[in-house]
Amino acid sequence: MNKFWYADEKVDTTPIISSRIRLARNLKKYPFMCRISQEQSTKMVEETTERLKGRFDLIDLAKMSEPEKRHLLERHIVSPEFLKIDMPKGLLVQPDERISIMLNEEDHVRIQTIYPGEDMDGAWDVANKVDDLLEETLEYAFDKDYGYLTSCPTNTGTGLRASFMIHLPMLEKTGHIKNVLNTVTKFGVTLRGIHGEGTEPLGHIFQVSNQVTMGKPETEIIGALKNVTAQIMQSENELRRKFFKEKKLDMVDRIYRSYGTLKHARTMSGKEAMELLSSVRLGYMLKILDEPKPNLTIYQIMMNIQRGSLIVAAKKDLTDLERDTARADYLRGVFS
Amino acid sequence: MLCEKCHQRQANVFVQTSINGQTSKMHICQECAEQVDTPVSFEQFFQGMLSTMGMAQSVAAAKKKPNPSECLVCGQTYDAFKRSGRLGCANCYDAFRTDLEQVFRSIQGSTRHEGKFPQKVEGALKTQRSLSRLKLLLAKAIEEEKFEEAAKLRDAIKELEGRK
Repeated sequence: MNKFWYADEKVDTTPIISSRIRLARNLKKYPFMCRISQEQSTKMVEETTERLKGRFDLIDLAKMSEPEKRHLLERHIVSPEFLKIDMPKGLLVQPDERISIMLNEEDHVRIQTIYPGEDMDGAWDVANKVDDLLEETLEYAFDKDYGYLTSCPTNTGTGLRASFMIHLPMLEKTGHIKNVLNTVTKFGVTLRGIHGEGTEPLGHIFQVSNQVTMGKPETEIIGALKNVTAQIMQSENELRRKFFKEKKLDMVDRIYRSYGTLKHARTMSGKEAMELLSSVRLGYMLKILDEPKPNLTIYQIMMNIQRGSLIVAAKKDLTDLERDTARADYLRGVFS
Repeated sequence: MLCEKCHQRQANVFVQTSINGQTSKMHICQECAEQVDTPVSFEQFFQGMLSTMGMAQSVAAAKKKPNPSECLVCGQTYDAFKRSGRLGCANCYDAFRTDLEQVFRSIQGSTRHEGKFPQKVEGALKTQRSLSRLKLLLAKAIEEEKFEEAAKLRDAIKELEGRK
């Protein structure tokens, strides 16, 4: 089996943490999300699951606790919207969590692939194959002019959303991120918080994705996104070099203080932990931080200190204080 | 009401078929509906299902009186779409085609899909295109009295049509 995508060292190699492809598809014979009934949803989910059995692990959401569901969200296996939907739904995941399929999200079928680091072509190749596999037996809602028909016209056409998860600490700290935001929108690209639409960036991690899904072939959409992302990455790297040259002591001090706090603190909020881990990630990447690197990738640690993950690991509900203590305990363990 | 086909299970599907102007209506159960051998299009089938719930108008009425403000398959209105940004089914794209062109132009900057096609659709489209091309060639061959060539083209057309 492949490693979990977030356990692969490519996650920590460049500002790009992961490359993700999402394809939105609907089945021709069922109404879309806003008009589908409970019974039709159950039928749609069963029918689609039947075609994929054996190739994927079937996750029974009905048997999961709230923290367990949240844990799925923190691992990017599901979207926040998917968890909110109060209808029969289905979830299929490959053991390495690189491929997942949400059934009855905003669209009947949402295929998602996540690959470590900068590998959008790899993610697209696999998503495309999963799509072909599904299409062999399911009849998609498709129009020869409009392409794949989706619930929301912002996804119609290719149904493709390609996103890089990217760590931009210097662009955010210097405030340049606002200029980046204004510039990229002109190229049909959006910049959002870590868990997608409507979420705040934590740990200076953003999602860069294509806005437009129609009028261009998939490879062209991906190519344009890659170009814009390369530009963003270049600005981030330039700022890193500039600060390293001009304010080296400041930078080194901040990174070592972050490391020290992670290694010794007794309680820690999620927000603070993300901030410190962001700083340490930068430290390892710039080879400023000359300390042994944990066995886990920094992004994996970032996932493990989230609320759902901590509660799942503790196997019991935690109060706010207990959670902050558990988080600090975990981090001390990882960095010692 | 009992199923008019098996006379055993409760009827929960209404099927209305219209073949060469002959309309027939049947109330049948889900099981029989799945085995129904009459050439019922999905739209008709779905319309029938909806009409038993008192939600939809008949297919014939739909054809006579196109109502651009509402999708006759799923009942989603254009107003509801404008409010929620969500379309109700694949047919909404046909029902609201004129308005959607505008929507796509403004949010997508395009009204045409240039990406991948499902292989099945691609195959059917290719067949369609080859057929039209062959038919043109056939007409030309006949006009030019190239009968041997015309015979070959006719066979090729027959073969393609058989595959459809």
